[in-house]
Amino acid sequence: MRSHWWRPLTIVLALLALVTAMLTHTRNPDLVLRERLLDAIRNYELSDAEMARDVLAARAGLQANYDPLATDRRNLVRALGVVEKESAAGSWKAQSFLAPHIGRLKDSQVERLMSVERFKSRNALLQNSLRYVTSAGPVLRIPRERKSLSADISRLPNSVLRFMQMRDSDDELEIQAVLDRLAVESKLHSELRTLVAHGRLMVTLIPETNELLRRITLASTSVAPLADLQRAVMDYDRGVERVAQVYRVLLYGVSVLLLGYIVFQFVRLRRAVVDRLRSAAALRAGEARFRAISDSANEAIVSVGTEGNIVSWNAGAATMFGYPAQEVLGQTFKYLWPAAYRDDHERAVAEFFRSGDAHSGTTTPEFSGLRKDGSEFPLEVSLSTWATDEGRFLTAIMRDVSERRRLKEDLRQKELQLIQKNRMAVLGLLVSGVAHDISNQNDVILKSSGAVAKACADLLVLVDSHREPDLETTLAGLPYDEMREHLPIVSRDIHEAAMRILHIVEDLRDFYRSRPQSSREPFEVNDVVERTVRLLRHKINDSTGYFRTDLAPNLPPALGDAPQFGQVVSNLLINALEALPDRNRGVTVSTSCEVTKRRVMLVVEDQGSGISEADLRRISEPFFTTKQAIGGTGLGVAITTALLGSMGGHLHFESEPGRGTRVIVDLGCAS
Amino acid sequence: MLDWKDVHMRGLRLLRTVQIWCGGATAAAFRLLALAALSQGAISQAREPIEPLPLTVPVDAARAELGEQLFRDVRLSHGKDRSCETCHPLNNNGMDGKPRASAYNNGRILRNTPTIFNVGFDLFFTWDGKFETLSDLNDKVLQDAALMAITWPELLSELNADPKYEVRFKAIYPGGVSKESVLDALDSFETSLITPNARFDKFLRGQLNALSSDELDGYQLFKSYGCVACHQGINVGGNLFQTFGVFSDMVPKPSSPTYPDLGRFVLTNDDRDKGVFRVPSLRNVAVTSPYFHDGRAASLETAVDTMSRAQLGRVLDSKENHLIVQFLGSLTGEFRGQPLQIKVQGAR
Repeated sequence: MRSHWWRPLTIVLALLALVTAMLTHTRNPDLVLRERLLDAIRNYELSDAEMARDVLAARAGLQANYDPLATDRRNLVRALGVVEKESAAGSWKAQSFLAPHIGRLKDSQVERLMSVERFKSRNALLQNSLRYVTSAGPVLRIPRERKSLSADISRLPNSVLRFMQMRDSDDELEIQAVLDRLAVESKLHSELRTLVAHGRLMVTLIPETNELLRRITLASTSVAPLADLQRAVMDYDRGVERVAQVYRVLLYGVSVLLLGYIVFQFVRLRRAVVDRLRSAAALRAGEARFRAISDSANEAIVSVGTEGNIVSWNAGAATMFGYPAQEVLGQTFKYLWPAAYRDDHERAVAEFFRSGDAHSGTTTPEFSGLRKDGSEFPLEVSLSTWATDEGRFLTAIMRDVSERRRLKEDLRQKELQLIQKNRMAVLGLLVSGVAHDISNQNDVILKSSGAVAKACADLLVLVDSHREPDLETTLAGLPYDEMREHLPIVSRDIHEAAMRILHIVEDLRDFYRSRPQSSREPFEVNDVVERTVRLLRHKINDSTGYFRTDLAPNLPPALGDAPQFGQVVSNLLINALEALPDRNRGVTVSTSCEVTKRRVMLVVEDQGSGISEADLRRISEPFFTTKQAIGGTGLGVAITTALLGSMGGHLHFESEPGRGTRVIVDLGCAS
Repeated sequence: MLDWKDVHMRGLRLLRTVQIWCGGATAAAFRLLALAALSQGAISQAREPIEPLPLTVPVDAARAELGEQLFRDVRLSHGKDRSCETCHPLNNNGMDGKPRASAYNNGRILRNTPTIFNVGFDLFFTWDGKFETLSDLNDKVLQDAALMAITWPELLSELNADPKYEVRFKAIYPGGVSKESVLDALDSFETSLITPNARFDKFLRGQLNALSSDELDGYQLFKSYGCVACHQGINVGGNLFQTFGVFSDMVPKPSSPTYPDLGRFVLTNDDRDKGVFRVPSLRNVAVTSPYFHDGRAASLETAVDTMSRAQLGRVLDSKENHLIVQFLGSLTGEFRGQPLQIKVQGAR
């Protein structure tokens, strides 16, 4: 439709041109001519009638002079001029049609005006003679005895007048007779001679004048050519009108056609407009919806044109890349990528534009984005293209996946821990079984070692008393004396080793034993600490010369399990002591109370080697130990943490490698 | 409102219809009856046959002024030796005072030059009434070999060569110098040549003491003897034709080179027009001798005598002649405020 926009226009213009052409033909071109010409003809008729009237008036002796007739003549000539001028204003056809009629009218006018002039001449004489004849009687002094003569003289004016009016030949004869009689007498009187001359003149003038008058006033002489012209004008007009009528019908037809076409186009246009409006409204609604969606999305939704210029930029994009919309709209999109990827991205987008069909969404593997502040971040991009009248566009929906990546990492850690725990559980069962067997066997060793030690001691006393000092006695390949020295040590070592095995097994048992719910009873933390210190006095003295306890008085009873808490203190204290490199470093155990938080605090602080940060993170893990060399099981802290956890307490490490470690334990107060 | 013209015309139509119906003899009586009824008010019977000249005529002053310049310009003639004024000198009552006009190059024998004063009130121009408009007359006079003998291209190129004419024509006529504008200017000027305020006109306007008793008696004779039958109207003639010598047997034969001048017959070739001439205007007649188409009468008395004999069939005694001549003297008007009088005999 777009390509044929000119077609309806052309049709309408063509129809309009046709209508215009018809219109010019429907107009009777000589309609104005007809009106004006008929008007001129009427005017001519009027002038002509006025002249006839004045001629009659002059004939009747009612005109004082011939100026009115002069005016009439001028008017008539002018009227004919107007008729000629009006007819000349018509079309060529009209002119040629009317020309002969106008020529005839002109001829008739010339003849008529000539007649009028002749009439004027004759009438002037006639009036003069009439005046003379009618006034002659008193002037002529006729002797009284000439009665017949005076009767003739007095009869003459009447006869003449009658003759003038009636044109009766009898009158003429009578006048002639009178004149003849008078002529005989004319020698008598010069006036009489004049009278006769006038009389004779009148006799010749009267018929001539009357004839002229008849010609002038006779309708046919003036009216006939005029009526002919009038009829010709009407005939011509009718002919033209008939043609115009045909064109009028045609005009009507074409007009109806034009109107119909315009209505058709209007209806079409209206439908198109309604469709357009509806689609525009839908588009607006769609756009609003799209904007609402795109602006509420966390994803960056960015549309670019084929040249790579950004045409749409949602709130998510602004947040993700750090550019507000007004900064990027219209800019190229390549600055959204780190410099290293730009070429690849551009190529990919170009390729996508080339190959991608309208709505094929594609999710690409991860990209990298570049924020306004220059930091890079991983992106997941989904691409699609779409086309409008303005060209093809590409929309990218981008998701910042750095968070997801971190979550994934965490998940992996958790899974690893779970696996570890599983492994621990299995190991626990295994260890429990093994520990039981080891513990039984160890019991034998332990009990036996005591007996063996005692037996050895007794044996050695016995041997000493029965031995010959010079006699080289060897025990187990060693000289007796050496053996005598070593045997108690050996037996003690055995006992100690068995004791250690017992400890380890007990520890294992403690750790993997299905822990009964720790009881939560009020107990005095200070008492427990003192008892434990007392129990460990021997080891403390071995490890340090600077042991200090700083127990807060009037400590509120804590809530928990006293023996387990004793184990906690013992574990922490042993760890602290074992961390000391030599006796010159000290360990401090202190208790305190945080009344506001209703917590009782225990702090074990050593000046030992400290714990590295990496180790500190793993310190609660079971079997994590840095004391493998000196027989650490890696269960101490794990057990401590578990015990405290069951009592509602917390364990917190602060350490500075080389300077020492501070372990803070807090428990809830009883009241 | 009643349209009187319309009513009038309806009356005339009725009259016409009646005329058509009654073609016979009775029509005349009927006609007169109808006419009498129709003419009530339309035609005054009490009017004098002569009417006074207007004091002014509506003529465009600029055109008349230009016309006067042309009127006096010899470049309007082929030989550049005569202008309109040659035959119509305004300082000699608008005519040359000769029995016959002098022809250019002695071309042909011309008729007497009538005065150009009041020419605008004439219905016909020249003695045989060949022209009815001054433009037609002037067109003819300019091209007449015996008069100005010039052609239009020649005349127009002469005028166009004069920048002053060009400017003046352009100021009045958008088309500049042309046949039409030259004729119009001449027409305007000639129409403006009026001689109002004749004593007789003053009398007609109601100033009864404007005429002496002799002049008044002369006027009465003029009317009663029938002079007025032809010499009537505003110009005291000039509006109709008449046979010169109605009672020809009473007219002595003149000794004239062209006798007999057949007058209008030359134009119409109609026997009835033999010896028919235009009735000349009697305005300023006392100061525009000689008289008649061939200038045969040198004095007004002779002319009056000839007229009374030839046209009225009457011989006037000297007293009557004198009275009429006295009356005719009262027809002399004023040109540009100055009363006309005889100045030069035979002025060129």
